[in-house]
Amino acid sequence: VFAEANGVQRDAALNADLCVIGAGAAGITLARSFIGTSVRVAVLESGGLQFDTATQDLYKGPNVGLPYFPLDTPRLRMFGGTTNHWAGVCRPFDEADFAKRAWIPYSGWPFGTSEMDPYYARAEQVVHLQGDHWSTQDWVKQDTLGPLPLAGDQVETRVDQIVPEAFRSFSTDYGDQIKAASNVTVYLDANVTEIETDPSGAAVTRLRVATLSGNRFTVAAPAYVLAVGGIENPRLLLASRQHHPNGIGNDHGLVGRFFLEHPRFIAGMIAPAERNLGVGFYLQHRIGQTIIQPRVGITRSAQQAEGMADVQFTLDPVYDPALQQANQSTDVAAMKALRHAIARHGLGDIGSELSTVIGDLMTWDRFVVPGAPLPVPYPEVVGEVMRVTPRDRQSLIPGLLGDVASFVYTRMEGNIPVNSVTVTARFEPIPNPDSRVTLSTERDELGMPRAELDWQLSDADKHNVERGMQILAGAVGGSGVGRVKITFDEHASSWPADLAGGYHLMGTTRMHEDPRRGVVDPDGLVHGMSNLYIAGSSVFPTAGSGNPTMLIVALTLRLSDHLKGALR
Amino acid sequence: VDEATEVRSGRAGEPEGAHHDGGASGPRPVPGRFYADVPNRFVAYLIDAVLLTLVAFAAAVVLSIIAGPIVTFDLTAAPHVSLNGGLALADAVLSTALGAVYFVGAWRRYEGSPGARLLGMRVVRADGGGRVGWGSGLVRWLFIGLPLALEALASLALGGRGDLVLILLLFAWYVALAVGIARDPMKRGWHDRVAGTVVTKVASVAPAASDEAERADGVR
Repeated sequence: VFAEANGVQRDAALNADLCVIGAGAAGITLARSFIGTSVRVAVLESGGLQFDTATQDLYKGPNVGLPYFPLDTPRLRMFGGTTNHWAGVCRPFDEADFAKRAWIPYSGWPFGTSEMDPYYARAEQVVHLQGDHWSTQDWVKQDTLGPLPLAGDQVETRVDQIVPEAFRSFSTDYGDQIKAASNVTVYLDANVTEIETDPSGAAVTRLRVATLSGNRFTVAAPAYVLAVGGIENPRLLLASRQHHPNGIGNDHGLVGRFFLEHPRFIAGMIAPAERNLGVGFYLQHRIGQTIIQPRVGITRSAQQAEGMADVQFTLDPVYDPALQQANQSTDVAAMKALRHAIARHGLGDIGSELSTVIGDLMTWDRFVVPGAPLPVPYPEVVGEVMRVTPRDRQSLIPGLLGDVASFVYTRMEGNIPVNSVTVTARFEPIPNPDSRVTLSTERDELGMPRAELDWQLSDADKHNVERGMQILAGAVGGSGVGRVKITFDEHASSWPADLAGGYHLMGTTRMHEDPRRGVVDPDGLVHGMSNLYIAGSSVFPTAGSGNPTMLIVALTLRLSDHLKGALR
Repeated sequence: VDEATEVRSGRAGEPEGAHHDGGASGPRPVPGRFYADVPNRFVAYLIDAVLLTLVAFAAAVVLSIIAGPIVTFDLTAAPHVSLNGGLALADAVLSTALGAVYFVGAWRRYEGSPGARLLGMRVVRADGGGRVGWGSGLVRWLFIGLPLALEALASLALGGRGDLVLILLLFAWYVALAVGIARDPMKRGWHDRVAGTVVTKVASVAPAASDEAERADGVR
């Protein structure tokens, strides 16, 4: 059920059997796994069911390292959390992602795929994927489009699956189920401002909760799970200083360190040997019921041979300028916004988008003989379409049929000729203790210190990308499909201006058996604490090659199994 | 049902033009003919629309040859396609004028447009079955052709904005005309009533001398 935190009696001391902080991918997954059990779960969610600016503002904080998104943009502080703007990209970590790689400092998880695969299988259900189909060969066999015939064994094709937009929000997916669950209470607008412990500091005794409207109360439970994301998890630990001057779990100064992202930027382009190079395979497209997004990656054996971390490439076709311009037009943007709104069951006002899209879809009407009872194109249009080459014909599409029709054409047609291919490199950063979240001197509306992010990457990361691009260039050049122009230079003094993250906030309460090397143990329990667990991507010791959400869910399912045993 | 009964009861053997029957206004069709209903009228209009579209296309070709291209292409610069608004307007006027000549002329000269004649239909005066005059014909055309012209002109004037609305309005107008035809005992739409015309169609098995035979005609 949902409860409004402002409706709780002031200074009340609430009790539950399990207290979960945060209702995002992890918090909702954890709460759901206790539905129908005798465990009374209290979930404390800072936001409400809808986005609220004042609540989102609590996320703000300074960026003092590499340029990064303003801290209130890569995540959403509301029920469902960041899944409310999730892009739905999934691929499980493979054995090498979990393994300790001698050439990558701080690498290695306490377990591998044999431990995680069963949980991944369950996580696929949770995120509404069609099932366990991660073999590139299987997809290639089914696809009418195909991968580039890249040379050598240093690059491979990888296939991500994309959760359909309608199923991405955990709020939409599971809100009703939570609402109907009598043993789960989600307190909305409930901000945890401090985790209180007993004087020994080894056990959490209660959580202090505050609302933006001024209500205050506490919640106590035998066990607590912190699940508010890669920045807020360390923030709350660091800000809870009653019996821990450096913050909870921070005896070894690790809380907030090792902040990881999946950095990406345009690192080069492929100049096709022939104008008709088709790269439709590398666009998000549907095979049967499943949306896939193939990419190119450096193989594990090449990574090992080169002493590299993972690097993968997204290939984006650059079409004829007319088609390219159409794809970036406001008409297409409106169409995407409309599609988005429909998938999300009508968030916001779509009137202007609708009229923009309809107007664009009616472009053809300008080029039919006026006053004729039936639509017939002007003679010049018929003549031109018949006269020009197929390649020029497609560049007439935006002008004659509109931008949206042109966009649909570029998506449907798959292998339409490209002028060039943009290569966006995304890499697994080397875990770096200097890349970290700390507390700012600024305070938020509730008096909590704001988070401060100092995102850092290293020269080793630069070298990885450069080497990755060189390997890709060799594979492309060797195949004869074209030549790669590498625009990234590892010796340049700064990172490219378009360096960005993937909204993947990881690593800040990393998992390790050794308390001197990790904040949580392999069960997710904070080292030195008896009843405080952490769920979410902040426990990832490495960023891996796959996107984090499905692993967040899988790890949370693993944690819930552990808790079911521990709470018995 | 009433209309059908009325049509079937059309008396055989009556001379053309002698057609008044107490209670019903207007003429009854002559033997072997019935009032042309919506499906017939729709198909006839569709045939005319195809023919007239070909005419309009041919006219656009001629206009384009005489006055220069209405649409120009330049694959080297964006936008690749541009429309000469003045010539498009001229073309709209030309298509509309040809449409008026096509319909009004055919009603006057052949008692029906090509589409109507192909289906054995005639457009005649409601008060005696004579040929439709130029004036009545023009009035009748205003209901059929003018909305199309207005849609084209509005679309040009608005630069393509609101095209869908205009097309839907035009469509609604034709639907309203069809509904008017369907609801009238003599299948006269607004255009018929204002212009004083009626449309009759030859029965497929002719001549019919009895009610029995007329029923077998598949009148409805």
